[in-house]
Amino acid sequence: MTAHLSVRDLRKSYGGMPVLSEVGFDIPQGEIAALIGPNGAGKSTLFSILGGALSADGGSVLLDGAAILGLAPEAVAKRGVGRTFQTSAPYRSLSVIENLLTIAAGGAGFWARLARPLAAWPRQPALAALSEVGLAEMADSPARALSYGDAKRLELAMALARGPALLLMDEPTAGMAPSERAAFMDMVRERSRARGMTVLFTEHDMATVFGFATRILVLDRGRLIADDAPEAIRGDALVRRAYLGSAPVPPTKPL
Amino acid sequence: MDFILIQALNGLAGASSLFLVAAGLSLIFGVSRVVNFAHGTVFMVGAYVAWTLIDRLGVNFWLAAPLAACATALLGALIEVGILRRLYAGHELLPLLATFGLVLVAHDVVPLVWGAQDIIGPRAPGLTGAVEILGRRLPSYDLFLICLGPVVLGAMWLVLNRTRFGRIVRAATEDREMAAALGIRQDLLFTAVFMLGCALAGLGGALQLPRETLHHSLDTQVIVSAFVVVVIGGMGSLTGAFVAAAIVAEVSAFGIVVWPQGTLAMLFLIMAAVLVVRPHGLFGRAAQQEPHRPLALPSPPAAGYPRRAALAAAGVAAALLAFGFLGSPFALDLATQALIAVPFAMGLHLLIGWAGAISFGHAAFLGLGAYGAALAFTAGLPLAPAMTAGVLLAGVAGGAFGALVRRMRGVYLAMLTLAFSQLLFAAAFQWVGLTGGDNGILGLWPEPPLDTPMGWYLLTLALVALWLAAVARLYRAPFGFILRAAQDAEARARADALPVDGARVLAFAIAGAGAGLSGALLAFLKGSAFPTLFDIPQSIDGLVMVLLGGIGHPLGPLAGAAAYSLGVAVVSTLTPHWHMVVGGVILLLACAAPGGLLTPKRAGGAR
Ligand SMILES: Nc1ncnc2c1ncn2[C@@H]1O[C@H](COP(=O)(O)OP(=O)(O)OP(=O)(O)O)[C@@H](O)[C@H]1O
Ligand SMILES: [Mg+2]
Repeated sequence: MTAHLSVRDLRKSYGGMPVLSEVGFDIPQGEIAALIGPNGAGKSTLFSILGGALSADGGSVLLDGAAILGLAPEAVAKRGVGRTFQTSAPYRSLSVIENLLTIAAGGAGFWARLARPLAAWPRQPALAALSEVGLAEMADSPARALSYGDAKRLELAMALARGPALLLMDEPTAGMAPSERAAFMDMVRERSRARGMTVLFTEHDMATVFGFATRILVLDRGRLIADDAPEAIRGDALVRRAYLGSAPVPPTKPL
Repeated sequence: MDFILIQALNGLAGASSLFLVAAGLSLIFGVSRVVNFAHGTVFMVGAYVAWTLIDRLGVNFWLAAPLAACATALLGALIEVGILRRLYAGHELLPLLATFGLVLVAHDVVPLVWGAQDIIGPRAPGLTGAVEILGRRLPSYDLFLICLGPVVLGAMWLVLNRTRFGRIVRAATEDREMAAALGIRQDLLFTAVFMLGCALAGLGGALQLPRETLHHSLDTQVIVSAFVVVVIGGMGSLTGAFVAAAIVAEVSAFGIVVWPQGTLAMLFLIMAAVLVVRPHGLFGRAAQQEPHRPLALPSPPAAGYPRRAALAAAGVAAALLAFGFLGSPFALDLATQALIAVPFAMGLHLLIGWAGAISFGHAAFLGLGAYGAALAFTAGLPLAPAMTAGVLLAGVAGGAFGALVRRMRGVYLAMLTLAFSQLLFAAAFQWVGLTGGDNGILGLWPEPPLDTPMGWYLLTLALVALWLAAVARLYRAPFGFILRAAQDAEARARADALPVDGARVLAFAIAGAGAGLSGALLAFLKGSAFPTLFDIPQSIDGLVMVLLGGIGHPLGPLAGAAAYSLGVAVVSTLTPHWHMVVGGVILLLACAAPGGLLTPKRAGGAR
């Protein structure tokens, strides 16, 4: 089986300062992979490049064998990539359900986008998507009134709205309570299993990483220093020194 | 050769006071993100104060100049503490609106205090002579000014880099959140920087006295040049302001000789070229993570806008109708003009409130609509196709312009729109063969029954109502939501594959077409089209209407356009000092109802 996402020799520097150097990895279809590394390792930069928001200095990114590096974020999204951001950002001036309706309507034809009121768009699919993340009751409240965790959940629903084949999540559970984290990642895992969706996420919370990732990539100062199964990563001396040394590594949670 | 040299030196002398004004403007913007529209007014007041000190009180020029700077610093403190401080939490355009109110007030107050006649400035004692360079004479005062520019730049560099105050200012310019987190007293900092900026402008005004005739409309002239300088140099960059002031002064110095009427257009062309190549100016840097100031958009609109807003809009519409049928020709004309302003203001409102694109040059499309319709009509087309041609021309131009600037934001975009309108203004003046130049296009009289004021009023009413209904529908369609989504979280919107750029381009096209409709209606109301349709005051009228009405509500421009048109018309029949009254009202509204007429107060400036 060819890899779903294939990254080769990716490089990026800011004003001469290398942020990513020769990063390369393959992620097969349906895998849940975690990208970990200390603050400033380049994780968000890598995600921005994969999502098309940032240009790379060199390298290649293949999605199902097709090059996506250099495409605009809109084009990358249309190839089946969904994203959540490190600082979560739903459309704050809209209501919760309008956040999803707008995404659904954004894909409609030119005239429909101009003439048909958003309120006339079918609510049912949007409501279903909201109840999947536990927000159905909030459908008509303004998104700016959501709590931190709820905003993250809404953003997950938004990233899933277009049925992505690859989901990129930048620190999806940061700032959540431990129980919230597990519930959130359970939703993601369920979706991944049901649809064969590939997931790549960054996370500082090791319980979440070792509890849900089937594969861990370790980035340190722009270099990929390890890429292996969780068990192997746990024993990797290099990784310990670079990163894990500072935080106790929890035992793997039974799946 | 020697002539070129002298002219170049002459230009450099002018650059110094321009640099002083622009440096202050840039400094203020860098720290508090306030675009001080009244900076030219401060410059002018500085010059007047210096003149009073010298001419009336017998103070020596060299003492009067720094005293004038102190006086304008105090004026700055008054403005900042009394007005601007209340507005920082609101929309970024509020300070602009308020300082524009100040410009209007000063427009009447300054002639009342200092008289309306031109004043020939006193000479600078000790520098009344001239030096001979290559056989030509250069006033020694000019030589002094040429040296002063670099000295001031050096002094400011020292202040910014070698003092605690300077370090704070630079920290705040580069990263406001960080500066706030470091516990810097932001209110004091903002006041201090505003005072410093005003002192520089006042000093610039005083020092320009021996070179230039002083008159009470110097302010607009100065503010436009200063804006151009700051944008070319890069907002917040002193070196940039210095270099750009030299460029602008040189272009003006030679432009006066080569092509006097085209100098301004040339400057704007240079500015546009710089912005296209370097979107943040020659020495500017992309602002780090501009803190997002959310608009006070009511949420969610699908559940209905506040009832009182709809009532207010209905009241305005009823008033406009009633005015038309009062039977007085004056009231009829007033109602027609107020109605005509509505599509113009609506387009600007769509750009500012929904597309997040601030335009200082919306008059460009007003003029295109008027000239397009007028030219088609004089070419022999009947009224309806001629007006359609005007609307289409403005709409297509809007779309094309929008496609060019779809990724630009903030003040730079605002300046590019200003440049665009000024270029068209210049073209309307210069391209005499097509536009009739200064004389405009005359004789635009429609056929009966539209040739009467009532006939044209009814047509205007019908077309504006149609336009209002059509555009209001767009706000409820995905198009409007996509624009709002992009304002809330642009990266998110793009990652959701929303057609952000397309929606922005379309917003420009619709805004252009709306302004074009206003222009075409206006041309046939007046029977003529003049280059002034493209000019800055028209654009500013639009901005004031939009902000008066409130940017958060689709019907805001209706209320704003009506209130402003009727207000100005009524006040101007009551008093010759109507600028002052209107300016005062704008100031009051900006402070008391920052969300505009049609936004409930609690939503105004809410975070
Ligand atoms: N726009 C930028 N200009 C210059 N340097 C930048 C820019 N954005 C990021 N960097 C630098 O690139 C490096 C990688 O940043 P990045 O945000 O990718 O790290 P990260 O791994 O996501 O960190 P964190 O865990 O804190 O989110 C950092 O050293 C950062 O300072
Ligand atoms: Mg990050």
